[in-house]
Amino acid sequence: MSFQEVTLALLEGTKYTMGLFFLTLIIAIPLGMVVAALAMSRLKIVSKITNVFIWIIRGTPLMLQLIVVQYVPGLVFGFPMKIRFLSALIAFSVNYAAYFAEIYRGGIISIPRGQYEASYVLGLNRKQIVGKIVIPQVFKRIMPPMSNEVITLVKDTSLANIIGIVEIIMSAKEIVATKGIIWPLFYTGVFYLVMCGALTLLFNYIEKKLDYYKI
Amino acid sequence: MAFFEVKDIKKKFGKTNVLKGVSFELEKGEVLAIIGSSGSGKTTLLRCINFLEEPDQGKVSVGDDVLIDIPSIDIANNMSDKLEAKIKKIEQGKLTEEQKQAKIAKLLDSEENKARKKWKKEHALSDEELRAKRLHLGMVFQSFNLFPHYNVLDNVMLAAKLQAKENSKIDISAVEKNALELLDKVGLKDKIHNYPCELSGGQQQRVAIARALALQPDILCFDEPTSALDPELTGEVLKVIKGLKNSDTTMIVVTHEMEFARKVADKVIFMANGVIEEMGTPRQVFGNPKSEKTKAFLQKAEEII
Repeated sequence: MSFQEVTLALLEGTKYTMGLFFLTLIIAIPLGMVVAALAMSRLKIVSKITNVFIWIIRGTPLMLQLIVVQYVPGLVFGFPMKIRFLSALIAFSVNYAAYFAEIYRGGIISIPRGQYEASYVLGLNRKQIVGKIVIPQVFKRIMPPMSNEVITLVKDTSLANIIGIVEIIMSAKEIVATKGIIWPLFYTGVFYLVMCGALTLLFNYIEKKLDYYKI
Repeated sequence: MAFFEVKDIKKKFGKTNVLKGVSFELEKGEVLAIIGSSGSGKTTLLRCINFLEEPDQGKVSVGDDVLIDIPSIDIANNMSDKLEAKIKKIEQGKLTEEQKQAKIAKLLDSEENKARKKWKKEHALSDEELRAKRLHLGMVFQSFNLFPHYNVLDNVMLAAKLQAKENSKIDISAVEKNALELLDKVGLKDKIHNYPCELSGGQQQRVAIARALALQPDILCFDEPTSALDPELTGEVLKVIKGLKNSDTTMIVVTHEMEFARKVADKVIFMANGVIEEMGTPRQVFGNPKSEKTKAFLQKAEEII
């Protein structure tokens, strides 16, 4: 199999990798906000349940979660998951939402009390405090951990091959198994490096844009 | 009736009695300096007046507007039958007299807190009502608390602009003009596009003063405005505060700057252990203090200099 053929086959897998990556971000970023809001709820029951949920998600391997989402509905509830990509998307979105929620929460509690007090005495209402004072500052503070997590997500997508998603690694493994050559597996590293490199540049750009003030 | 009245403010934090009934009055345009050692309740008093802390009881009013009016709750003299029965039970128990007294005191305390919570719940203000009351007062903090993500001009204009958005009667261009005038007044006209992180502490505090003035509060409060500044920067901030005296802003300044209190204030309060130990004109308090505590405090302050 020629270099070009292998590249094309791996690009085919890249479609699934990138699809899973972007769709996970689109779902997990807002879902994480909901989870963070629930975790910080004044109702103790709600925040306790949410924290248990976060503990379970962060405390078990993503690979196990993929298997659970793919097989448990069929085995336990007689409702098999027919679309494997959907299972992967659910597992990834929920998993990353839990991590993002913790990042958001950390960002929110890092805003000093003085910022709220200054807002109160200036007569800002709750909506204005959140929208004009807290969120813009949280946004800057969470950028470094978010960029870390997003870059991890690129590489984590490879775990989806455990439930048969033909992403980059799976594509390479198929070539290895059928053609008897191993180098395509090593070659996959280049694809990840390119994607992570692009993301690193993007986040550097955003962080620079937010550098007009210091906290 | 005085322009600004504070009556019998009490505040406990857990078991610590921080304010044990503080009352004073101010006329429009007067400057009040509150002095006293750390932990005497000065800052808590200011925070209670500014709705940053909720007093346990007391009354605060500006002109005809009552801002805070929390009645005292006297559990010991208005006991329910149930509570009386409980206390009887403790008294007839096998504890030593001392333990009994402690237990009763604890019971009364928790009942009082319950009753106060209930009262506060019944008399809770809506966010809008609270906001309207709050705007009678302005506050300048020890740690400035500027918004780091807005430049100097936006820090000063933000609140007024948000108000203008809600109320079409307020003219946005007037808001900006007013902000620029205030920044000129505090000597920072050439810094309007800078961010707080690019300013010295003294400059930041002057922005904070302009920001508080932008909402034209009836009473402007300063919570140790120069305690986070070195002596050189302290001077420039005090000069700005002194300059405000000529306009008819009523001010309350919690400060450790005795010289400033002596020269600028119309009225001085010396606080100790949650009460007003001495109150009067600077001449009375500094020149001829009556209380031993005041004398000791002033002497110590003198020695440091």
